[in-house]
Amino acid sequence: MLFMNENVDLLSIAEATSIKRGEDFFNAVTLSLVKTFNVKFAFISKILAPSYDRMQTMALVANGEFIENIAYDLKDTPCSMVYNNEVCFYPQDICELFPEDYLLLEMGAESYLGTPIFSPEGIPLGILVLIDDKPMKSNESLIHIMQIYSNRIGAELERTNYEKELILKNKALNAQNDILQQYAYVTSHNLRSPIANLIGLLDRLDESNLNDLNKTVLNYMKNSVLRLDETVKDLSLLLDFKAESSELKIDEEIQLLALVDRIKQNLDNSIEIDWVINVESVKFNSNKAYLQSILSNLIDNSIKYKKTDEKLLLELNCTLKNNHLQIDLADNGIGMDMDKIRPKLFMPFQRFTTQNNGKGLGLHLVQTQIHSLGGTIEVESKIDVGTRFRITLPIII
Amino acid sequence: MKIILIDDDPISLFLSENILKNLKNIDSLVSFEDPKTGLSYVCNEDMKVPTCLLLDINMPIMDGWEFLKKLQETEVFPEMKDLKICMLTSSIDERDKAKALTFPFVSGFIVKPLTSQNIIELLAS
Repeated sequence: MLFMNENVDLLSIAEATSIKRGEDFFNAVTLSLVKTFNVKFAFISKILAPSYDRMQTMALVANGEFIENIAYDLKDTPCSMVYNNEVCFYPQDICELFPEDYLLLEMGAESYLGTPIFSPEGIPLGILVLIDDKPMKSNESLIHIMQIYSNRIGAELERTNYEKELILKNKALNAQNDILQQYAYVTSHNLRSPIANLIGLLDRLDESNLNDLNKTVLNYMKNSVLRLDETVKDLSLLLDFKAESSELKIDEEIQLLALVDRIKQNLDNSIEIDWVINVESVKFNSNKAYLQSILSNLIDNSIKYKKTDEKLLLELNCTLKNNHLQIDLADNGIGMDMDKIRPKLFMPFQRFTTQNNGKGLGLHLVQTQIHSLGGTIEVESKIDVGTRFRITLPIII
Repeated sequence: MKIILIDDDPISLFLSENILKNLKNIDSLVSFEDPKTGLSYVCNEDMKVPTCLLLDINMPIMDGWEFLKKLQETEVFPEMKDLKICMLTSSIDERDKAKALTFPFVSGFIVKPLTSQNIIELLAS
């Protein structure tokens, strides 16, 4: 149970420390302990690995002011007893009890109160200490408050340790990612130049003296190297997207109707399309290049996989729902066997039909772009009936 | 029209030469595997004849970008108003293309292999 005074003390410390983190929190706790309980010194110390026989202060207040942190040996000090799991309260004559502790002498210490700091898992991490140059009154509530703050310090220490570890790991991961990306670039660049040579050389070859067999061989060689070239180009495009997405701009103003119109203008005129467009005429912010690429990739797919004996019907619906943009694109194409295809649909370099010369990258790019915008894509499809994609994107209006 | 080729890859150079030799409007053709020799040739040559420089990007010792910077710094550069410079590279990296456009005196970016069609288009532009 808290006494009235304890309540006031706790409140003043809680107020001074509530929004602080890490080092600021440790400083705020020590300073407000000194002020609240009117003592000369307060400090938080952590144990130093690997020897565990020295302490290092993390926040040290003397005479109401922060002073430079110090390290000290635990041997023959009251701190060693606190660290060994005890609350130590010496209301007076501390220097006589620990005559070998010269620091206490220097401080002119008379009384001492220390509480151990544990991690939430119970591992001893350090101590929280008050020292005064006059006797300290026996005070249950003071010890209670010290214990409460020791626990908070323990939790905060662990949190900062995790944070440090996380930052280090994140740095290492980023470095590794950079190396991999560089490696991939060099690979695709170094592949590209001999491929360009091969394409050029095969093109300059004099075919007039070749027999039929050699002509066939030459043609196959040309086809193979062109396919290789397409793959390297796609790979490089993919790497570009991955590299870009870390610095993605999403604050470009977009008018969806105008965007759809532009995509329609760029389509191959030779294919007739029946459009049903139902787009809410709103402006919002996102990444224009990505949205255009997503939509035109999906429309290209519908064109690629249309039924040969039927006119292509495309239905595009866009609606705004609670800061989300929902885009539905449905076609009457050849459709897909979703049971078979679903697990691989968005993976790179997957092709599900021999119809047309797809490279199996379009949907992977679409998904990569949607994910980097924080959105999702779902698909429904039925063979001989058609395919429907549903994209949901978070947007800023 | 005179063409200067700078490309460290002998196969690529052979190909480009082969294509350019068969084009009508081209009176002379000079090529360099070493960009430094190429640079001093460009700087010391009388540039009265309309000339087109086809420059590779990825080269050891001095790459295409460094070549452009060095060329730009020469005293004779302001007199080279009739020199057309075009990057000829195997790079399909959009960033290389964008970088080429930051040099105001670079007027083209051809992705290898060179074809008679894209060189005709370049010379016509």
